Amino acid sequence: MRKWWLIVVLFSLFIGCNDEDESSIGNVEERESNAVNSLKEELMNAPFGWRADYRPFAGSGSFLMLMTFDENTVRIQSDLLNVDEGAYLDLELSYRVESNLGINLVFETYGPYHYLFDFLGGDFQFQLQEEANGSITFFGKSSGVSVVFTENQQDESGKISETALGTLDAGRFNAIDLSSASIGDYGMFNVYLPETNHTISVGVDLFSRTLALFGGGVGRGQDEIVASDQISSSGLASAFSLESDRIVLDQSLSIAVDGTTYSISEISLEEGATQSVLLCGSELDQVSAAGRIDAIAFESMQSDPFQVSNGFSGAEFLSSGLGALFTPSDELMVETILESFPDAAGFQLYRGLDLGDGEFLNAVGFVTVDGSNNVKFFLREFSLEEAGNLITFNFTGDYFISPGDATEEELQSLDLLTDLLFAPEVYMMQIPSLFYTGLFEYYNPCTQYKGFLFEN
Amino acid sequence: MQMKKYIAPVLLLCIAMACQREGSLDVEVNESEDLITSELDQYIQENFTEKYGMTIRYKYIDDFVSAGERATPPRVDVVRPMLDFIEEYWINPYLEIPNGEAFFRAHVPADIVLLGSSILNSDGTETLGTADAGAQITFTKVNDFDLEDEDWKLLQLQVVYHEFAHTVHQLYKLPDAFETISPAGYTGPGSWYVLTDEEALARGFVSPYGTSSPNEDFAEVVAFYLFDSEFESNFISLVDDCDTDDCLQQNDGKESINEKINSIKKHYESVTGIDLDELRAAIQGRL
Repeated sequence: MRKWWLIVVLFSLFIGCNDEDESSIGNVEERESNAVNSLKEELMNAPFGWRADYRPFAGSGSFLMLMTFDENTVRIQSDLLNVDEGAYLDLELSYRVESNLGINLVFETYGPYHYLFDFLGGDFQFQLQEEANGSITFFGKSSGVSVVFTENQQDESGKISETALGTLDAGRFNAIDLSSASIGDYGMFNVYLPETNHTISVGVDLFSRTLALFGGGVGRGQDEIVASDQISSSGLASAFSLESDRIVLDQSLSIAVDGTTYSISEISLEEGATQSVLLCGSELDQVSAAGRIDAIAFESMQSDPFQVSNGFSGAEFLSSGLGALFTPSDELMVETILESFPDAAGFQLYRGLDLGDGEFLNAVGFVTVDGSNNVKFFLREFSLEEAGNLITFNFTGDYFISPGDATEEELQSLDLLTDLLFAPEVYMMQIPSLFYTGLFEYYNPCTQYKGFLFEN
Repeated sequence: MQMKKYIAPVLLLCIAMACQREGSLDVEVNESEDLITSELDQYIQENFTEKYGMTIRYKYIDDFVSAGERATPPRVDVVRPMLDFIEEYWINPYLEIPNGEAFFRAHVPADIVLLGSSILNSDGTETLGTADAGAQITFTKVNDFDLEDEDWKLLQLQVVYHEFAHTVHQLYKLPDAFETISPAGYTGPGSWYVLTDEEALARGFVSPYGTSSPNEDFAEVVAFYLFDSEFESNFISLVDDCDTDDCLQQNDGKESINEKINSIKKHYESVTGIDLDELRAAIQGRL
C-alpha cells in the first residue's frame, strides 16, 4: 500500500507542475496583466469606437458619449453642448486600464464624465462587469450605476444632436442663467399644432435631461390661449435622451386639450431660428423650430416665458433669501434692499393664505430680524389675476405690518422695491427642479427684474 | 511511524517550491503610467523630473484622495499654464536668491499633484491644498486657472508657500520657543474654523487656521509673509490711539505676530541659509 501511495503523490506532483497548467492559469500578476491588456485591446480594436448612453444616476436622462480609444488617449464626442461653452463636444483625454480591486477603466483628465461626476453624481472611474457580443458593461466605482459600451458598426458622430441642442439651449428662460447648475437648465417652449389649433407647453431641462409637460391650451400665443380659457394643466415629466435631433422620452406623456388627447414619446426638431420680439417694451430673443411630436407635425416649438400653467396648487407661501432677487443687469439686489431695510432677512410672497374668519392674505414683501432676534413683517397687499403663468399684481394700497407699524419712508421703500419686482405683471411658474421641490421662477417683462422663490 | 508525520509537509513544500515560476515577481503592472506619452509628458520629464526630481501628477489616481473624499483631475489644456505658474511664482523666486536653489533642490517634494477641483470631504467641507510629510504637495482648483483672478492666484500661492514651509519645521523643527509666543491662542484641528479673522488676529495669528497648531501657525505666517503685499499694515503696524478693547487686543496680537515672523526669519537664515526678506521681495516683484 505504501508504494502505491507514494506513486500517487509523485504522479500528482508531475501533473500539478506541467507547463500546460501553468500557461492556462498563470500567477495573479500575469492574470491581472492579461485582463488589463485584453480590455485595452478590445477598446482599441473598434474601428468606429464605442457608444455609451450614459445615465449618471438611476432615473436621469441619458448623455450620448462616442469614444475612440488609442494607446493612451481617448477621443470623446458628447452631446453636452450646453455647458462650459461646448468644451465637451469633442475632446481628447488621457485614460488607463488598470487592475485595482477589479479591472478598471479610468478617464484620467477632465472631460464629460468628470463634468457629470461633479454636478450629477456620475463617475469617471468604471469597473469591468462583463463583456458579451460587442458590448462591455461597467459599473461606476463611486455611484455603482452601470453603463454599457456598445461597439459602433459605423461612424455615429451624426447622432450628436447639435441642431436640437442649439435650439433647446437658446430657449433658456431668463433667470436660469443666474442660477447654479443644480437648479437646472430649463428652456420653456410652446409647441403649436396648426391642425387642431392647440398649443402644448413644455419645459426641457438639458442639465438632467428631463422634459416636463406643463399643459395645453387652445389657440396660438398668449392672447389667444388666455382668451379661449380652455387650459389643461399637467405635472407629468420624463427623462429623455437626444439622438439625431430627436428628443426621445423614456416614458410617453399624455395631455388632453379640448377633447383631443396627445401622447408624446418623441419630439423631432428641424433647425431653429431666433427672432427678437417686444415684450412690455423690452426686446426678448425667442428661438423657434418646426418639427413633429411623434407623427404629428407642428409649426413651431418656440421659446416663450408665457406658459399655459403656473404650477400653483392652491394657497401658497413662498419665500427666498435676499440673494435670489436680481436686477435687469443680473446684479444681486441685496445692497439695495438693505439700504431701506437694514435688518432684512428674507423675501416672502403669500398667495391666498387663510387668516381665518374668511380673510385671506395676498401680500408680498420683506421679513426683518433685528439683533435681538425680533421678527417683523413688511408686506404689501394685492389682488391677483392669473392667465397661465402670467400673473398681474394689482396692489390695493393696504399693508400687512406686524408687529407695530411702518414709517412712511419704509412704506415708500416697500412700494418701490415690490414695484420693481412685480408691477404690473410677472411670468411666474414652478419649475420641476432635480434638487428642489416647490421652486418657482419669476420674470418681470416690463422692468426685467427676476428671481426665485421656494414653496414653504 | 515517526517519519510518516513529516512526509506530507515536506511534499507539500516541494510542490509549492516546484510550482513557483521564476521571475514571477518581475511582472510589471500599470507600466503605462510611467510612459512618456505626449508632448506635455515630455515637457514635464525635461523641465521638472530631470531638472528638479519632481514628478508632476496630473492624471488621476485614487491615491490622491482618501476614502469618502471626492475630487476630479484637471483639464489637459490647463496643465501647461499651471506648470508655468508654478515655475514662475514658486520655483524661480528660490533660484534668484542666495542659497535658494540649493534649498529648493534639496527639499522639493517628489510629487506635485494637480487636481481640477477642490477635495470635497465627506463632512461637506472643502480641502484647498495638502502636503504629505514633505513628499507631496497637492494643488487644487487647477481647472479654475485664471491669472486675472486675484483670489485664485492668492489661493494657489498660499497653498504652495504654506505647504513648502512645512518642510522646514518637519526637517529642522520649529524656531526655539515658537509655540510659547501666543500659547493661549491655539484652538485645535476641529475648532479653528469658528474664529473670525479679527479674532485670530487678536490672539496673535495671521488666520484662524493658524490657531489649529504651532506647525500650522508657522506655515501660515511664512505663507502670508511671502504672498501678502500688505503684511506690514495688516499684521505688524500698531494702531495709534487705541481706545477700545478690540483695538488693544489686536495690537497685542500684532506684537505676537511680529515676534513670530522675526523668530521665523532667524530660523530660516540659521537652518536653510535663506533670507526670507529676499525671498519675499523676489515673489512680490512678480505679483
